[in-house]
Amino acid sequence: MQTEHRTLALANETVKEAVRRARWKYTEPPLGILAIILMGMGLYSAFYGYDKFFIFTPDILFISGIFVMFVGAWYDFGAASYAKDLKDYYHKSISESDATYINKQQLIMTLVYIAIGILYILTGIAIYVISTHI
Amino acid sequence: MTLTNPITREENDESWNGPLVSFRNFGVNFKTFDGTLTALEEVDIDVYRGETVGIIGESGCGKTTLATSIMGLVADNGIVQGEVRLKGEIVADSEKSGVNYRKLKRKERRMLSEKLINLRWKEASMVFQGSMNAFNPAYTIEKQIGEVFKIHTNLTTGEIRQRIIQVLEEAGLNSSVLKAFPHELSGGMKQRAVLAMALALSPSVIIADEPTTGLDVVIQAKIIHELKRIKNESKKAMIVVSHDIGVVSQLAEKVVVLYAGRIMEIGNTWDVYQRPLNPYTLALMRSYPSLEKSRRRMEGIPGATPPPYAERKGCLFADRCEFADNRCIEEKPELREMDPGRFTRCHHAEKLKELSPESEKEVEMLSSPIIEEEDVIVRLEGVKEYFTLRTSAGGSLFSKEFGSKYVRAVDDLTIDIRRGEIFGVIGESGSGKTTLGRVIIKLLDATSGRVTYFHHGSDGVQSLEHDIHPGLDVRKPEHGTKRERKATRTPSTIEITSAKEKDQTIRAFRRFSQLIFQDPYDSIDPKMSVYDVVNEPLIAHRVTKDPLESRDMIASALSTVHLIPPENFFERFSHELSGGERQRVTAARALVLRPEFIIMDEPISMLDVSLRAGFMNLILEMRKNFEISVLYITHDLASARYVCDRLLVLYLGVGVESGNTEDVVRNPAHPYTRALLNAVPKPTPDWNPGAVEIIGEIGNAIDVPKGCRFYRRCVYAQEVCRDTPPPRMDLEKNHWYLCHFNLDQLKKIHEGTENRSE
Repeated sequence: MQTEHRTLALANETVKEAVRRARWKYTEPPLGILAIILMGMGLYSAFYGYDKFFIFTPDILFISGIFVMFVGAWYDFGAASYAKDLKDYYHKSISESDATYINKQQLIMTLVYIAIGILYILTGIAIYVISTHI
Repeated sequence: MTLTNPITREENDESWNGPLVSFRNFGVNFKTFDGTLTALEEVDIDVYRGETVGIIGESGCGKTTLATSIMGLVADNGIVQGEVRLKGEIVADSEKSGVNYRKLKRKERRMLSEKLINLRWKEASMVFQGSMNAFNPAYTIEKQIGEVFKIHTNLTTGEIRQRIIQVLEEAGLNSSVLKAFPHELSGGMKQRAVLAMALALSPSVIIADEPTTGLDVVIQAKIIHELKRIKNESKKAMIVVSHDIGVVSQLAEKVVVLYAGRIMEIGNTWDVYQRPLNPYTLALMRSYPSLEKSRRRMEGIPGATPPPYAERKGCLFADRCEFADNRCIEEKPELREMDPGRFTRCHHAEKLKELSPESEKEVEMLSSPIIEEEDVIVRLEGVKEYFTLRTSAGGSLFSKEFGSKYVRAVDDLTIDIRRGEIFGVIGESGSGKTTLGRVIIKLLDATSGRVTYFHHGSDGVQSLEHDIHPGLDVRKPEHGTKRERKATRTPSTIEITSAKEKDQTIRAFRRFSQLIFQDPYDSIDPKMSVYDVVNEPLIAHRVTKDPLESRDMIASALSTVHLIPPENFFERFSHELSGGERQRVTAARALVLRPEFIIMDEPISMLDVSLRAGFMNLILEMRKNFEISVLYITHDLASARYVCDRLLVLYLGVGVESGNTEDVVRNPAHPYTRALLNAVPKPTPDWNPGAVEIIGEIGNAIDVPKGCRFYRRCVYAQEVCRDTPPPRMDLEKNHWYLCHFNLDQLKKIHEGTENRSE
């Protein structure tokens, strides 16, 4: 029985790892977009002057940050399709505790997106602050 | 239950006294870019009501062309000779079929199509080879079977639904599958559904083209049972096409042996099986690995079938025949009647007639080598391999059932594989055989447990260190006697489970262990020549930089697997090789590094029946000559008995019985092993597929019972089996099984069950 528990614990680790990977999968796009904005604006400014970079980038990042927060708040992160699969393919219904668990995971992802949104805004503020000192 | 078809065909059948299917001097040649290929020639067969005819032969002998001709399905490039009649109506002839179909006027074509539509499914239906592909994946079973009724009858929707349920029950299914899509059914259920569709309009003739190929042995027995029942109850004519002699022997009263498109022999099934009057039939019987004869040395049929475009002169089997003389090469033999109802196409049939079945040839029995019990090469201790079920990001994120949803592919397996032995792992599809092989060879990391490999170099650990380094001459001969060599050897161990992929020890292990895959058609790169394929391991392990040396090593490996002369094969590509030759190339690839341990994953399942015996003999030879240890994974019990020294029976990831092969086969203890052995078709009249004591089909390895893994399918199951894991029961030395009951208790339970059923 002890080995059974140990094996399940090992298998659980892989499951938890899968959850971590799934969270990262959803986190990657907004972070990637942030990187693209910074690089894109950087490249644009390299050709047309850094003054434009410092004028536009903080605004774009602020607006994008708010947008990311809203996405996090409204997007279901695949919960609806998961519930549909559960019903259609596995012929299972969703219990009260399942719904609570799904909501909890959604809340975590929403908070992650809000954090990323804040990161956008903070980056914008940082660029603005730097521009005031140049 | 009997079918009550609104269109009562039975009355018509009874009024028809002639042959239901009649081939008259029938032949088919196919025009291709490479020339004209002869698929069938001079076929004369009659099939009467209530009769079942079996058609056997190697791949490419024309079996399926013969069967499809009855449905009027001759390909557009076919040149037809003679005719095929179905209940007196011509369905294929030289004027209207094949290439000549296109020459017909539009009106004639329409009339012919209408005639064939009326005959198909109503008069003759077909169970096509490969049930997996016989259904449209986008339609439910109800819709697909319903189509037959919609097209051919005037029944209302409600009546059609009732009839579908009837035919499904007739084929051994229930109405729960109506709304299922094909992918939701198991292989056996799908095959039954195909059978239900064939039975839908109660046709006079049912053609079953390889009805059990690709199915597990237990499901195969059940399908044979269903077909036998349908045959006995409905008295229909049946044509069974198969390369499996055991299957045909169970279903057919009359058998037709085909070779390269020619009929070689026709006769009563048991007569043909027991006293073949044609050398080809004799060779086919000798190469068939049946369970009860499998300790006798088998011989594959030497050579290959004649090239399809070659000149058809003399006897086509002459090149491979042990009786052949000049006359056979020059003069084409005619189909002669030797006894009433026994026809054969051979100049030497009289010689064969004089051979008594026992004195055909001196029967050589296989002997197992003596293997030291302590000399272990691979040790598995409590090995578990669980796969988690999450794949999509959503599924991973929202599934709450932490730790409960696993595929338990291998569950707590402890075994020792000894040096120089062939260790067989048998079980149905989905029992975890391949996963076990992959865990041992570290293609998969075990979830828990330990796999240890004991390498016997000439000087233990030092040899291991030496073997890791490139430039080692793997063919370096060891001096001294076998005993002296063993005495100087010191084992060095490799912990396979704990080692990292980049470790030097794993690199060394990769060299000592090799894998032969199931499908030789997929496991060889079609863009690589045989030389490159066999050379690849030498390059990967940096064995030698000398091209002449590697050439010698490749030639030696090819010679070992009887691809002689090897130089003839160097520049050939996989499409230029037969199935057997391809599998020999994969064996040469595995042998070129002179490994100590080889995993063979169903190595003969894709080979033609005539080539199987040859490859199995090669495995035995390889073991004998190179002292190789083999893990032989298979679902074919006859071949396992032929090659293996010990067996492990695997069921849903758990080893349920293990022991010396002869002990397990002769005295099976676990109910699952008994069912498996009973399910193997035997070419004897007294084999009863209905007596296979097993319930349903192998389940999934996710929701497994808490107690005995076999609980849900076991006919001996009691209350204790449900929740308590079974203990290990030891029988003889090395022979054990997992069950709550000893043999006497099982016998008593069995008697009790039989009494209840009476």
